[in-house]
Amino acid sequence: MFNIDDLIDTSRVWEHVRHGTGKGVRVAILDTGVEATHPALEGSVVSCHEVAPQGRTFTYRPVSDGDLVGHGTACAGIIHQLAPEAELHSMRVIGRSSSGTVEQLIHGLRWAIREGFDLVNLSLGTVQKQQVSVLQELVDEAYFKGTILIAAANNSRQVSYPAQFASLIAVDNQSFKDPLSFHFRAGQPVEIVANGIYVYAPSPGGKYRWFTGTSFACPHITGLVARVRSVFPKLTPFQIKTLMWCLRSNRDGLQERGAGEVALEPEASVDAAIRQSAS
Amino acid sequence: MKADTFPPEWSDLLELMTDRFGRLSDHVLDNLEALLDQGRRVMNCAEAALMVPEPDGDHLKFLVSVNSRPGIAEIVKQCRVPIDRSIAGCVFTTGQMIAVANPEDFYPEVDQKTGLSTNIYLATPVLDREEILGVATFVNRPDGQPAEPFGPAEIAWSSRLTDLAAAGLRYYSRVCVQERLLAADVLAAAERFADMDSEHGSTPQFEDRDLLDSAPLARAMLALERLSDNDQDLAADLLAVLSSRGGARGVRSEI
Repeated sequence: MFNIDDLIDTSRVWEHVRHGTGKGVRVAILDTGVEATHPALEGSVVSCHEVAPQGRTFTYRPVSDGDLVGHGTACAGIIHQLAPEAELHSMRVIGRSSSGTVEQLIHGLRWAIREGFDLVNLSLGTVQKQQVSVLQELVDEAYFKGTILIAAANNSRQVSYPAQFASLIAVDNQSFKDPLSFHFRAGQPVEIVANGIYVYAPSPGGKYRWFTGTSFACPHITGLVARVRSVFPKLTPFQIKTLMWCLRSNRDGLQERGAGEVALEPEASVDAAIRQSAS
Repeated sequence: MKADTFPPEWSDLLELMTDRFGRLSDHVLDNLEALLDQGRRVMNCAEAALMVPEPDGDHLKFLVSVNSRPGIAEIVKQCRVPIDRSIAGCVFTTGQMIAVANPEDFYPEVDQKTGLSTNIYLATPVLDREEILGVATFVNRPDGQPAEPFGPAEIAWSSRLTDLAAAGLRYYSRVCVQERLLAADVLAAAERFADMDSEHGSTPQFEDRDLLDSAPLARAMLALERLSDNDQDLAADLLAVLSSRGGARGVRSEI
């Protein structure tokens, strides 16, 4: 009896993941904004917008004041480190206005889906249930349009949205030495566990900090999927998930190949680190 | 009529009501402080704080702060943090925990006031079911210890601690409401007392600031200082009715 592992050559897929750069992949980052001028981002940020209140509704407008908190810049930096040729587009949905955050998230998500982004990084979520059905409709719309959503699970293990929805990739955090390592927990709402414990990432003002949280595990998977998508641009969200499942034991695989401990240092490129780990 | 013409028995009774009954929230805050201090020791950190939104909705204030160094907590409690440009604000908005190390100028305003430098920082949302009540923060290691970032076990502890803090905050909120109701009841009782005196030709009049400051009613008003602007307005209006003057807004600004 065959299973899917027998049908897909995971080592060959890993070769593609290793060589993927994210080229041609457009990633939307719904967060606190991004400091596009940060040296670590090297011109990868193509646009910066925000969802701004306008009367009883919201509007989209370009912004140039970067990231006032640092959360979005860290996420963008992690994605860029893993997929250096991916186009990053920032949509600020947190900050500036502390009210209507779930509505801002919904409007930001709607924008990302209608703009036809390949990937959307959602290092955020809400535990409130009022807008769950609206969010779910949008997440399903993204699934059918081929936009892959990657969402951070709640750090306190509470049910949160949109991470709870099955049609996206939800990410929990754990400590991995290799930034591309992850676990796959099949059958659970939050299937992926990626590196999210003290990740060295860019911070506003051209600085770096160490960040911990599921928010920072999420962009690791976004970066990884960007690599996959740059090699296989036609893969659907379902196929990407299946591929992730096939690669689920990658960490062990790397260890079997004699991989050493690989730290994500700001001055070292991830590609170089991974080549080193694989050699 | 001067303050000393208030019947002393009545002043004593009002004082008892406002000083003893009306200070339960202080005890709750003390207990929250004790909880946080115990949590701070478990977390092996120098400072812990419980931040809650201010009525303006734009800032977080330090409702409770504990620090291994004497005097620092009081300074921290004077600070406020904008929700839209701080990690704590981001945690408050999203309900997602964030730990940061080597933050450098992460909290410049607080660091400038305390004279300390924030090296490691953990902000955990205080959640009550679907509602985010505030943010618990844990800062630095105690003096003399290396600035080892908070590990997964400590982060898990912080989550448990904030569950308890949420229960404490909810309790605090309920007690504040009860104190508000108590203050209203005291004001109503004083009004009835004034009416009775009026029938006997000796209506107390709030004629000057000295009288107002020394009156038990003023104490009741001062006890309301933690209330939101709207609640303070309501209380001020009650006082205006009681004093039969239009100057209650001026009293409110003193609160």
